Amino acid sequence: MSDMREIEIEVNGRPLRTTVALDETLVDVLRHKLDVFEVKNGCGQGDCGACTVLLDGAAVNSCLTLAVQADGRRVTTVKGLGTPEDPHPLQTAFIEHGAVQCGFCSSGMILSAASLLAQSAGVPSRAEIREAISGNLCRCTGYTKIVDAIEVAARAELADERSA
Amino acid sequence: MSAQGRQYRVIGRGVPRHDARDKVFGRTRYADDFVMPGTLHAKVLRSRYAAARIVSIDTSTAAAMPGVHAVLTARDVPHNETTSKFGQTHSAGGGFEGLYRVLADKKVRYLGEAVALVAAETLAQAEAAARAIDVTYDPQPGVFDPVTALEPGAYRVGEEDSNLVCAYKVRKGDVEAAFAQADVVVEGEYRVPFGDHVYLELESGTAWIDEDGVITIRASTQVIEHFRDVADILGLPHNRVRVIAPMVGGGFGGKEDITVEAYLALLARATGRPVRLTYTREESILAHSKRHPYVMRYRTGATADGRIVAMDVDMVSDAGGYPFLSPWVLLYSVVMATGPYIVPNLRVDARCALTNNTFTSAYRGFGAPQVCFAYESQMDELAEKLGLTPLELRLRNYLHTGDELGTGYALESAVLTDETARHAWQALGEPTAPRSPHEVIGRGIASGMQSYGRLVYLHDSSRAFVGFELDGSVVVRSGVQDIGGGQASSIAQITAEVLGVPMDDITVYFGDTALTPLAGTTTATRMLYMSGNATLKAARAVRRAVAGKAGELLGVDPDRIDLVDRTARVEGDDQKSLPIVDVVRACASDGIPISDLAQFNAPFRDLEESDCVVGQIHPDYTFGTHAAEVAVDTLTGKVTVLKLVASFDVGQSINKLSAQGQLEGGTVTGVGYALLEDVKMDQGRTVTGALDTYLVPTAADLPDVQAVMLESGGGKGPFGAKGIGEPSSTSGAPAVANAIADAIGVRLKQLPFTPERVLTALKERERSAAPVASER
Amino acid sequence: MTLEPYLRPADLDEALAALAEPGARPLVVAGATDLVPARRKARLNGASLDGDAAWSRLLDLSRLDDLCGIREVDGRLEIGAATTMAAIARDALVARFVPALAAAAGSVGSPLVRNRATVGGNLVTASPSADTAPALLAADATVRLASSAGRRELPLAEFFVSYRRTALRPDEIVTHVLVSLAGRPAASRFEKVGLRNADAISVVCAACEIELEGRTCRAARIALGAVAPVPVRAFAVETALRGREVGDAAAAECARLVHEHISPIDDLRASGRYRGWVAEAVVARMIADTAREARV
Repeated sequence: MSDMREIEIEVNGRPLRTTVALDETLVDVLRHKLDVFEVKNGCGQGDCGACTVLLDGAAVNSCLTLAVQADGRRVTTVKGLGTPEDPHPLQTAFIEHGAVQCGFCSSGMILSAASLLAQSAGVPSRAEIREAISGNLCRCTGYTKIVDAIEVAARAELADERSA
Repeated sequence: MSAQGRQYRVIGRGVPRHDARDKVFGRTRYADDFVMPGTLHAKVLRSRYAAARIVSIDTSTAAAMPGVHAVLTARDVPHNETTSKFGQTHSAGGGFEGLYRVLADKKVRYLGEAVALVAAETLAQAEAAARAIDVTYDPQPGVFDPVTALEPGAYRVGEEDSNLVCAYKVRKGDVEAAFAQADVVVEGEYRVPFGDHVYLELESGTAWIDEDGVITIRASTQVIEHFRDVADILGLPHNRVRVIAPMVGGGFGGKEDITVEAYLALLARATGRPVRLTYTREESILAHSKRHPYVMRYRTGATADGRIVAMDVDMVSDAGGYPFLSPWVLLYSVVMATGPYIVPNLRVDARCALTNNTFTSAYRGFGAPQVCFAYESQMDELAEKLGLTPLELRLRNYLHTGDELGTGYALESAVLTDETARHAWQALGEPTAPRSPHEVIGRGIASGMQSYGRLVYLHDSSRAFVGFELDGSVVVRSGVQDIGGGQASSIAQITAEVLGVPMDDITVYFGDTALTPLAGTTTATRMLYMSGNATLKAARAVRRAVAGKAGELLGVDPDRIDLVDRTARVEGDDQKSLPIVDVVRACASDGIPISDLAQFNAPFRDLEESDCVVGQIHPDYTFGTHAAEVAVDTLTGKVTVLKLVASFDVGQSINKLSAQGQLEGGTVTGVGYALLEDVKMDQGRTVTGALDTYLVPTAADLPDVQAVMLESGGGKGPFGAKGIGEPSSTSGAPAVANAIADAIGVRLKQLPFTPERVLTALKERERSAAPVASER
Repeated sequence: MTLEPYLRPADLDEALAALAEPGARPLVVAGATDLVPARRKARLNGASLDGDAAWSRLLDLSRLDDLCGIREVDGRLEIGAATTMAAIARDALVARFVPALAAAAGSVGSPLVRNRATVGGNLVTASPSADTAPALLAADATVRLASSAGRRELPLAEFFVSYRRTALRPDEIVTHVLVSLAGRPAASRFEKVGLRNADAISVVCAACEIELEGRTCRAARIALGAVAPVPVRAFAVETALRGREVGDAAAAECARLVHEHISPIDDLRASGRYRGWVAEAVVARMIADTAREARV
C-alpha cells in the first residue's frame, strides 16, 4: 500500500487539503478529491491539453504533474481567471467570437492563452498564438476562431492597460 | 440581411451561445463531472486477441476480491444479442442484419471486444478484479483485409458462411459503350485508412436506479434513444429505462452507437448502486468504432471538350468485427460515389466485408469523404489529361437543380457548386512564392456533396415543445443531443426569432428521454433540419395563439400582429402594442394554449423494388468546395498547409458564428485525414494506441480557414437552411491532395500523405525521370 | 524506522545524502514528464505496483535552486539540470552562445510540457530522439554528476552508453550541463523533423556548428538524434568538411558520409530508409545554411 501524504493546494485562492498517494497526478486529485471538475482529462499523458491548469502562473498539463509536487503551490483554473460578473477578456472574447463549440478543450485552451497574454508585452502575432496553444487540441473549431478570440482579448487587454 | 433579402432579427446573426458562457466559466458538467454518493466504478475486460474462440471464463476469483460487487459475462445479460434490420435495403448478397452483441460469447471478433464487466468500490479494485478474470482463449488465424475476407476459404469472422455484410450496385445507361466512345479515360485505385474520432471528451456515463425503479443512465452520447436498445437488452419495457445526455464533448459519429450505456445499466441493476464508467484514451482508440477504410477503383471517361460520359466504380469497405452501421455507410458512398457531377453512364459495385479489425461505424461524413477523395482525384487527373484547369473541368460537369444523381433522383433544392468553386479558387489569392530552393508550392480544389437528414425510408421525425411561462419567459423542451454544434442554442434562436423574445429569456431543456420530447439522433447532419423544423412548427403554433389573442385585444386582424422585443405590436402602428406577458396571461386565463408540442416529419419514402440502388435516398444534399495551397519540403516530404478555403451554400445560417465554425472545423477534419490520421493495425492489433502515435492536427499545423458562406435560402431546414456539419468535412482532404499533386507533379493515392510517402513518391519520380543511374 | 516517502531537499547536499542512504533508494524526479506517463502505462498494463520499490519514495529536485538557472561561470555556460525547457528556450545567454540549444529546447513537446520538462530529465531518460542531445553534442557539452562521494564531469558523448542507458551511477544525479564559451558564439543550426509541428517525437533531429577561417572550414560539429541507439556525432562528415570551402555542393558531398554513423530503424513513425534519406538531406542543408551564416 502506497504511503498517503497530506497536501495543501491553493485552488483559485482557496486552500484545499487532501491526502494523496505519491504517484497520484494533480488532475486526478483535482477532479476526484476536490471536485474541481472544470479541469478535464482527455488522455492522461500530456498529449491533449484538456487538463491544463496554471501552476504558480505557468500553464502545465496537470496529468503530468504529481499532486505532491503541487503541495504549497497555487493552482488557477478558468473559475479563478474570471466569473460572469467579472470575466477575463479571454472569456468574453471566446463567447463573442464563436471560439467555443463542444467546450471540452475550452478550460485548458483559455488558460494557455492567459499564460501567453501574461507573458506578452504587446499583441502576439497569430503565429505566436498558434504556437502558444499548440499543446491544446481542439477537434471542433479548427482553431481559427480560437485564434481570433485570443487576438481580440490581447488587444482588449492592451487597450485596458493603456487607458488605466 | 439574409438569403432572399429577408430581414431577420436573430436568424443569421452571430449571437453568443448560452452554452458558451457556461463552458468558458467552467460551469458545464459533462458526463464524468457529476458526483453521486455511493457510486461504484466499472471496468470492462477486453479481448486480447483479434480472433479467438472463448473456451472458458472463470470469474470466481475476481468476484471474491475486495470491494467487488459484480462480475458479469454474456450469460448474465438477458438479451445479449440483438439484430437490427437495416430497413428494407436490398442487397446483392450477404446477410442484412446488424448483429449487436453486448458481451462476447463463444468467440471474439476483434481485439478489444468486451468480454466481461466488473463493478467495485474503487477503480483500482475494479481494474485488479478485471485482470483476475480467467479467460481461456483458443486463438484463430483471423482475416485482416476486406478483399481477402471476401475470397473463398477466408476465415469466417462471424457466424455466417460469408464475410460479406452487404453489397450494392448502381446501373445507369451503358458504361462500356460510353467508355468506348470516350476521348480520354483515367483510372486509379485509391485507399483510405481507419480513423479515430478523437473527441476530447472520452466515453463516459453513470447509471443508477431511481426512486421509481427506473434505470437511469447519464451518458456522453449522440443518441439518447438507445434507451430502447438498453431496455431490450435488459428485458425491460421501454418506459422503464431513461437516458440523459448532458453537454457532450464531441461525438463526430463515435458516440452514435451504444458505448457505455448497456454495461452501466447491467451493472447498476446487478449491484443496486450507481455505477460509473469512463474509458481511458487508449481504451477509446482500441475499442470504439472507427472510420471505414476503403479500397476504391475508379475509371472515368470524358470527351475531348471535358464532359464526363462514363464512370465505373468498384469499392470495398472494411466493417471490422461487427457490422454496426456499415451497410448504411456503404449506401451513402454508393449514392454519392460520383460526387456533384453529371454522369450519364454509370456502374457502381460496392461491397462491405467483415474482418477481425476493430469494428467500423459512423464517422463524420459517413462514407462520403472516402469516395470524395477518389472522385476528386479523378477530376484533376482528367483535367490534366485534357489540358483544362481543375476549375474549368469541374464547371463543365457540375450538377444543377433538376439534374439526376446516378440513382435517378432529381435534385430539388438549390445547387450552387459552381459559385462555391469560383469563390474558393478566388479566395486563395496570389500564389505564395517558395521560401527556399527546396520548397515547392501547389494549389488545389475539391468539390463535394453530402446529404443532410437521414435515409428517407427510415421515416425520420422530430419533436419539440415550445411554451410561454406566465411571466413571459419561454421554455423549449426537446430531446436534442448537443455535441458542440450548438444544437440546443439553435432551437432557442429559432424560438427567439418567432416569438420576438431575447435569447436570454429562453431556457432549453434537452437530452432526456423521460422529460423532453424525442428529437431523434444528433447524426446524419439532421439536427438543425429536423429539430429546427419541429421547433419552428411549435413556435409558430404558439405565435398563432398569442397573435390571435393580441389581435382580439388590440382590435386588429391577427395577421397584422408582430411579436418583437417582448411585445405584441400592430404593424405600422407603434401606438398599438401590448407587453407579451399580458397577452400570455390573457390566453392562459381564457384557456388558450400558450404552448405547443409539434412533430416534423422528413419526406417518407419506401424503397423501390430493384436490385440496384435507385430513387431518392436522402432528403437533400449540401454542396461546396474546398481550396488549399500547400508547400512541400522536397528534402523531407513534409507538407505545410499555407491556405485553406471552405465555400459552401448553407441555405441560411441560423447562427452565423456556429455555421462558420462548422465550415472551419470540418475543413480541419479533412486536413487531419489528408496528412496525419491513421489508426494502424497489425493483424488486428492497434499499434497507434494513444495520442502520441495517433496524430491529429495541432494549432501549429494549420493556417486560418477562410469560410465563404453562400446563402441560397434553398434548403429544407428552417428558414431555408441546409445542414453543414458533415458536408464541411467531405472535400477538405482531396483539396489538399490535389494541391500536393500540383506541387510535386506526382499523385499519391493513399491517405494519409505522410512525409515519408511524399518523399518516396518524389524519389521514385526522380528515379524514373533520370535515364541513367548516376548515384554512388 | 519508516523512511520519509516524499523528499523535497533544500539543497544539493541534502539530496545527495538521501541518495546515499541505505535501504530503499528514492526515485529522482524533477519535471516528471517522462516518469509519470511511464508509471501510468505500467498501471494500465496491470503491473503489480504495490511492490514497486521505485515509486515508494520520491526525491523531488524540481525546486532546488542549486539546479535551476543558467549562469556564466569560469568561462563556461552552466545550465542547471532542473532548468525547464521553457526557461532554456527564452534565456538570453543560451540564445547568444548556444542558439541551437534554445531551438532544440523550444521544440520539445508543447508549451505545456516545456514548462515542466527539464534538460536533466531529457538527458537522463536518454531516448535516442532526445531533442537537446544533438545541440549539446554539437556544442561539445559536458555533464556534471554528483554523489555524496564527490563530483565528476563527463563529456556528454561519453554519458550516453547504449540504448536508453547512461553512465549515471545509482547514487548520482546530473547537476549541470556545461558548455565552454571559448570561440562562442559560433554559427549553428538545429533542425527537427517530425510528423507534425508540435508535440511530436523527432523522426530525425540534428544540430550543426561551423567555424570558418576566411572561407574555409576550421571546425565543424554535427550531431544527430533518432537515427541510432544513442545521439551521435557525425565525425566523418566533420573531418571531410575541415579545410574545405563550404558551399552547397561540398555540403551535399560531405553529408553523404553521415551514413557511417547512423543505423536508423523502422518504427511506427518512419522507416529506416526514410530516416536515412532525411538525415543526409537535412545535414547537407544544415551545413550549407550554417556556413552561409558564418560567412556573414
